[in-house]
Amino acid sequence: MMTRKGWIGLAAAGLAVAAALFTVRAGAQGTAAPPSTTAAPPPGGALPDEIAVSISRGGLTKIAIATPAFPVPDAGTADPAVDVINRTFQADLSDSGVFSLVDPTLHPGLPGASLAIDQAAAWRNTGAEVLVTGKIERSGTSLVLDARVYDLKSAKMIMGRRYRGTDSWARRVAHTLANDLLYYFTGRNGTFLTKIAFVSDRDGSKEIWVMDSDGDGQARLTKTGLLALGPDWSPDATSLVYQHYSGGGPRLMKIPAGGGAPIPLPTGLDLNAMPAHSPDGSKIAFVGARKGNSGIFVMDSTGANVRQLTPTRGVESAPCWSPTGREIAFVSNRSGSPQIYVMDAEGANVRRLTFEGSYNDAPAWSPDGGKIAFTTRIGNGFHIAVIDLATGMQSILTDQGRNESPTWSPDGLRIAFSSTRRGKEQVFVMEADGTNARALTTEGNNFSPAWSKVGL
Amino acid sequence: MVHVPFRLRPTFALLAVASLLAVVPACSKKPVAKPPEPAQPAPVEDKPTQEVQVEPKTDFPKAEKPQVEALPDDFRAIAEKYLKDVFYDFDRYELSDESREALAANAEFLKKYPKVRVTVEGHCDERGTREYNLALGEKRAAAAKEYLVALGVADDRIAVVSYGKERPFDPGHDEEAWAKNRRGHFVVTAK
Repeated sequence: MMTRKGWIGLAAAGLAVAAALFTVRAGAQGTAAPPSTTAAPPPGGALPDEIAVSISRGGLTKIAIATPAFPVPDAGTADPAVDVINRTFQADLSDSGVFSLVDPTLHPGLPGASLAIDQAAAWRNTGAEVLVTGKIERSGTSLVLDARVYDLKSAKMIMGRRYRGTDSWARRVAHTLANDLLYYFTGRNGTFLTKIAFVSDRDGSKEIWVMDSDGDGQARLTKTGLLALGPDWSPDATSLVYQHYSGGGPRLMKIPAGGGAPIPLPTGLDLNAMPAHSPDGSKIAFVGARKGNSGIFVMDSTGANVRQLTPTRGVESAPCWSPTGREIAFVSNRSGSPQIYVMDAEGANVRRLTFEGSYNDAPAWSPDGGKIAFTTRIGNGFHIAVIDLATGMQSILTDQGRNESPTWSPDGLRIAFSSTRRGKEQVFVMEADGTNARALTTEGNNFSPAWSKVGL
Repeated sequence: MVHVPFRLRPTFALLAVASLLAVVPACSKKPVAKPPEPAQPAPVEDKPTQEVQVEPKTDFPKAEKPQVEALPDDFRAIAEKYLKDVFYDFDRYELSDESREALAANAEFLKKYPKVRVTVEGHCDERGTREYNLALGEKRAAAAKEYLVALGVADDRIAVVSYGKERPFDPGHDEEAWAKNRRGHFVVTAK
C-alpha cells in the first residue's frame, strides 16, 4: 500500500521526468522544432483550457504572465549581468504584443524548487495565468539560468530551460528565453534575436547602421563618407546589400552583417537603388535607370544576368517580393501619380493595388503574404497604411508626425518605420495594429529600417 | 643685185614666195586658223585672269575666332562661374522655359570648352517619400542631360546622378527652401 510520502515522491519524480531540460549554448535560437501554424496546438503539449490564446487579424488576446526578477546568485552582492537579463527579458515579453506583464508590486514570495498549490493560488490572485521563475548560478565567468514556467491553474511546470552564457551574452540569454516562451505559446519563432538595419547621419554622413530589434547595440556598418541608402538583408541575415554613392551614380554593394569591406555588384546602369533580396536569396530586385528611364530590374544575387522587368518610360521604384517569391510589388506613376502595383516575378501580369489616395509608396509585404504595408500621403503628411490583399480593405496605422518606410518583423506581429513625431526622423516600432509605438533611436536622423528575417 | 641665171628664175621665184609665206605667220598677230582636225578637240586658250571685288559693299561684322579665356583650376569655381542650375516644379521633371534658357547657356559653355565634363545631379525637396524621390531625381537629371545632348553636347561628357531628397541645398521647411531643392545641379568633373 502506498504511503502519502510515496505518492508525493511519485508525483515529484513524475514532475522531474515531465520537465524537459535542455542546455542551451549562447547564440542558439532555442529549440529547433519548426513553427507550426496558429491552428495547431503548441509543441509543449496541449495547453490547459484556462489559457486561451486567440491570434486573430487585428488583435491578440494577451497572456497575463508574472515575471519576477531572477534573483542574483550571491545574495547581497550586486550582479549587473543579472540585471541585464531581467531587464531584457521583461522588456522582450512586454514588447512582444503577446504577453501582458503583471504588476510586480503584486508579486508574492518566490516559490522554492517546486510550486505548491497555495503558492500558485497566491500568484493567480495577481491576475497572472503563467509564472516564469528560476535561478541564476555562476561557474567561473559563465552564468547558468535555470528557468521554469508554470501554469498557475494547475500549478504544473509546463516548460523548463537551462541557458548558459558569459556576462557579455547576458542579453542573448534573455532573448533566447523570450523566444522560447513565444514559440511555446504561439508556435511562431520569436524575433528577439533579430536585427534592424537602418540609415543614420549621426556621424556626419548618411551611413548604414545595424541594431538589435529592441534598439540595443547600435553600430555603424559602412564608411562611405558620402552617402549610403536602402539597406536590405539577405534572407539568412549574413550580409546586406545597399546603395553606395561615391561621386558617380549609386552602385549596389554587398557587405557582411558583421562589417568589413563591401563588394560592388556592377550592373552598368546609371542608377542602382532600393535593392530587395528574393525570399530564397537567389535574386535581387532593384530600381535601375538607363538614360533617365527608371524601371524595376532583377539580377542574380551574384550580380549576373541583369534584366529589366518593367518597360515603361515613367517613374518606377521600391520593389518588394511576396513571401513566396512569385510576385513583386512596386511603385509606378504610370497612372499619373505614385501608386502600388503587383506583378509576377517575371514582370508579367501587372495590376494596380492602391486606388485610394494620391501618393502611395514603399510597399512591404507581410510575412504571411496576406497584407501589404506602405506609405500613404494624407493631406500634407505621410502615414503607414496596411491593405488586406483578400478584401482590399485599408487601415491607417499612424496618426502623428510624418511616417515612412514600413518593414515587418519576421513573425508579422510588429512593424518598424521612420517617424518625425519627436522632431528629427527616428526609427520606431509598433504592433501590427498600430498600437504601442516606441522609438528605437534617438541620436541624429535615422530612417529606412530593414528587419532581418532570422535572428543572428 | 642677185644675179640669178635665167633658167632658174621660175624656181627661185617659187622659193621666194614659199619663204615669204613661211615668214608671214611669225610676223602677224592674228591667230592662224588651222583646218579642223576631227580626231582632236580644239585646244582652248587660257583666258586672262580677271580681278573680282570680294569685299562686300556694306560692312558686315567679321566672324572672329573667339578668345578662349583660361578656366580656373578649381572645378567648383568653374561650375559656379559658368554653369547654371535648373529648377523644377513639385513632383515634375519637365523643363521650364527658364530651364531651357539656362541649359542653352550651359551648352554654349560646354561647346566652347570641349574638354570639360560634367555631372548633372537630380535633387528633390523633402516632401515626397525617400524612395520615390530617388527615381524622380533621376528623371530630372536625365531631362537636363537630354536637352544638352539635343543642343549638340556629346553624350559621353555628361553623367547623371540622383540624390533624391538626401542632399538638400536649403535645410528650411518652407516653399522657398523647397523650390531651391527641386533642382538639376551641375558639377564639373574634368576640364
